[in-house]
Amino acid sequence: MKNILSVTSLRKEYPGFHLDMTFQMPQGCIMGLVGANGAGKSTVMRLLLGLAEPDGGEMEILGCRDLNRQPALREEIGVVFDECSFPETLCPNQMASVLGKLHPRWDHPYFRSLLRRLDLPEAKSIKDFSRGMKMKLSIAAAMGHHPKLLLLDEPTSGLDPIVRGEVLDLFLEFIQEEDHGVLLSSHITSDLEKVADYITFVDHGKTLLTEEKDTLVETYGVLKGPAARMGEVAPGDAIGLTQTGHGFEGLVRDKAAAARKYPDFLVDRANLEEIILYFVREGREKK
Amino acid sequence: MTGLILKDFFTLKKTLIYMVVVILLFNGIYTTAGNSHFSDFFISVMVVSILISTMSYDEYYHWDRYAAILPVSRRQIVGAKYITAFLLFAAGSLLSLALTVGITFFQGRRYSLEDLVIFAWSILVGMIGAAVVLPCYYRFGAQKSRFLMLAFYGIPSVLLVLGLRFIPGFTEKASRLEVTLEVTLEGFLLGGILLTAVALVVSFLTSVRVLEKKELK
Repeated sequence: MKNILSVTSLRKEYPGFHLDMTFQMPQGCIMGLVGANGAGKSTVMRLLLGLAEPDGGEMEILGCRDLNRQPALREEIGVVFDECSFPETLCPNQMASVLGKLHPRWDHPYFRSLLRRLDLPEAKSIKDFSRGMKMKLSIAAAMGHHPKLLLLDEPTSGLDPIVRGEVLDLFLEFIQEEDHGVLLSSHITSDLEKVADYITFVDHGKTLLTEEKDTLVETYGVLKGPAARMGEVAPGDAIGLTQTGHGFEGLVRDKAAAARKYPDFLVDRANLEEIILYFVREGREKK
Repeated sequence: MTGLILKDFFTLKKTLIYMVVVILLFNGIYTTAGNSHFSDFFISVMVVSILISTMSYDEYYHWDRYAAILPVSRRQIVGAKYITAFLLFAAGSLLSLALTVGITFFQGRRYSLEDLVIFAWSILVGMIGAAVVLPCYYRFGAQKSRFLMLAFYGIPSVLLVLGLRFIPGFTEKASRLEVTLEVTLEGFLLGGILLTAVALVVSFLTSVRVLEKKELK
């Protein structure tokens, strides 16, 4: 499958922070970008969008290596930042007039249909919108010109569960076109579990994990046993191995293989949130 | 690029209504009292101040970051701001000029060439102010640009006041200077227009360079 987005050894240095990431996102899928605050998710987004210059490495978006020098290519991209960027004195209709002049492919009837679907008033001032409404408007604006790639930085934060469901359905519809793709950074792992095809986990600026979500959920597991027998787990077999009030726990990459190797211990299914927590714990222990 | 200009005017909708009201009020009062030069100068300060307001809005809403992900170049983003500035100056000065000429006419006075020259210089000084403030906004942000504008207009005013108070014979010298200045202003209006044009071009290129190198967060 062709990649819609490809990042290879992408580097960026800030005082006290070093980003070095590699991941590939195939067409027709949603990739969840997960990580703690300050892990580097927004930095990757900024680099991909040409808002910051990388210090090294390569990135390819829709087959193009330098987005910054090709403004026309940005017509193929829809972006949602973690905050609404529209002046609050404007209303959605005025914003649509502005974006209609900037996007050659702006589709006003489609934008209005998105507003109706997301239950947003067209003529109300944005300053009277709730945080959730502003985020929904940003999403509608990002999709109003029929882009191929959506780059979304925490688009579901601040939304209630019902609206989150509606927005996630929109993203799922969007990727029905096989040349489309969505890179979605989020803290809400339950959202990613619902819609993401791939998960890339970033911690302290490094890609700790980039894999198909189904593979992660099906193969990873949590190894559990009594605290007294924790020493029997071979080094490297469990990620984030730790002692708890009930015994020990650690993440294993292959739960079937772990069950065969440690028949006396329990191997549970691991959900996305647990997988991420164990990776974070392992990272902190190594530090 | 027209979308970016349209955004500025949508954002400024209420401010522009105030601008018209203030121009009507100030021009009405000062021109009726026979001192249209003060309102000429006031227009140029007000337009630069409104321009800084658009920058404050842009900064507050991270609009420049959003604009940079749209299918426009950073040169076009900067260009739109300069066009907005030009349109504000054009609208403000035309309204002010029409009003001043109208009031003068109804008072049975003549709007002289000297009046027109001083009006033109007021607008040119405002444009040079905008040429200084715009690159500073892209480099340092709206807040510092506001201080810079205060300095741009404030320092000469303070020096004038200090001169009046502390330099013996300053008023007489200033009166002689005023006469010389009026002749000079008239004689060098074309030079002033050229100087403003050069300042705006240099300012634009500097702003483009600053924004192209800037990391937008």
